Amino acid sequence: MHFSDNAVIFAAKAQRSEETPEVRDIASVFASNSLWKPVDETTCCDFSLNGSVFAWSLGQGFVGILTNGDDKHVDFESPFHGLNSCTRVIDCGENVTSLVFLPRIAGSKKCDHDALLATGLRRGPIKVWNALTGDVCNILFDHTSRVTSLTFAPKGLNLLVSSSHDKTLKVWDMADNGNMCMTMRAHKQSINACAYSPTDSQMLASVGGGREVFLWNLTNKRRTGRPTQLLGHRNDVRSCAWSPDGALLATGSNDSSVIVWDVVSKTKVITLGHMCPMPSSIYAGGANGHWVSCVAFSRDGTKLVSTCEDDRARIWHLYDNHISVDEIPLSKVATRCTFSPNGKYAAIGQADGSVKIMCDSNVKIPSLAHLSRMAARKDTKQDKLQTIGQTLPYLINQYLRYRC
Amino acid sequence: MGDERAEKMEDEDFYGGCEGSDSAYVKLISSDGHEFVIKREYALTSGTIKSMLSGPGQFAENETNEVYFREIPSHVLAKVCQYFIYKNRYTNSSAEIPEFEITPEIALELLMAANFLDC
Repeated sequence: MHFSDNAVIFAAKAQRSEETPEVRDIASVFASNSLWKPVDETTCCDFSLNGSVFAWSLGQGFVGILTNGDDKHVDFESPFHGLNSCTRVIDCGENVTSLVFLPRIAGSKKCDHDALLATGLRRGPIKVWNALTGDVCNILFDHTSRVTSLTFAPKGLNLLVSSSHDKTLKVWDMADNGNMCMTMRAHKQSINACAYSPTDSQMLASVGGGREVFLWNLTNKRRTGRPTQLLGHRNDVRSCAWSPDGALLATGSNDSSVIVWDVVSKTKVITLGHMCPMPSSIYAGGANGHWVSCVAFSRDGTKLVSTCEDDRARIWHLYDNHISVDEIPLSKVATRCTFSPNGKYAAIGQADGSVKIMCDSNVKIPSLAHLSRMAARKDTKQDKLQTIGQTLPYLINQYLRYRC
Repeated sequence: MGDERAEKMEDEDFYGGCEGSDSAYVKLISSDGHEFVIKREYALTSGTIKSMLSGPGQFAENETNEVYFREIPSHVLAKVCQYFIYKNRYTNSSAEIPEFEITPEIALELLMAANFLDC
């Protein structure tokens, strides 16, 4: 319990945690071909919802799928040999710029299975695949530029939202065979990432160039009002991620910082700086060598992984007595990162199609206070938080709001 | 014959009791009178219970190995005991860690108990 009002924690000054995590590599498939250069691709990677399938983009429009063949979580500890261990390789036809696993969609015959994978492509289409068999389930055409991010609504709403460099977000109704319901326009520059809140099916965050961080309230799948803006970043915002209880939003930006926002009060909770001291405005707004490309929260909410241009990926442990950081050096530019559902692995996609997996074999059990806080926040709507807060002692109220 | 049988029972079914300073079990008593008997090492997950039972000074709890919680009701204390066992079972274990389920109705009371118990 140590967050003060908008504290800034620097990676260089934070404590190192006691054990360095082990690192496994999934090698790049194309690295041996000297004529191939990674261009205009994002090596995205994602785990399926129960962790049994892992997909990542290999480059040149191919997506590799790794699975054990059963429902158990993918195991990176046992040795594997790169492409030979891929269960399947899917050819998407164009460079893949984003991918995400979707939950089952009851009602649509083709989409009613557990390994539904949506891939956003460079020129705009979104292809939805069955990752285990390699069949196309759906192709969604409408974006005019690369699809940077895909996200799926929680609680069975069956809506897929995609963000694109053409400055729009589009909402697709997957239960209705992928029909597009709505186009959301408010960004003035290209949108880099979007994410649905995991607990509130009406709240969507989208981030993009020009320092824009927007929070949308989607009451209706066909119409939406103006979004609210969170001000604070000083350069293009590259990525956003929600904590699993929907109370915090982390955004990573080219101004070398990751800001964690309290969504209810729309204020900053903590800032994680990758460059010490914080760059002055002229460097924050331009090149500073520490652009943060991606952030992700772990499923138990206690860890955050961030990838930065200074060739390091960092896992921040947020709720120990002090925030501690695990750093691993990367050999190539990292573009995307994600945690596995069981919390043991962090997968970091690198620009040439290889993936580094950080294995944390001793996953710490979070404290009971943190688990109860997450359970309480998951269930509480924003407006009820105020009334609940009045019945609680001051310090507990502050803890519930991630303020101490 | 009776003596032999009694001895055998002692060897096989002896679980340890609640008496004495090195007892294997301690008793946690909720506000509504439910008594939870739990292994001492599990109860020591909580910093508050640890200092009550083994700190310097002569706490009454130290003698009787019973701790009364006047503000924690039984449905919350039961969950707390489940957490002690969950934590001890899965810390430093390579098994797949299941999620610790907390129903939303008890989440706030559990937060207050966890804050008090420092665990």
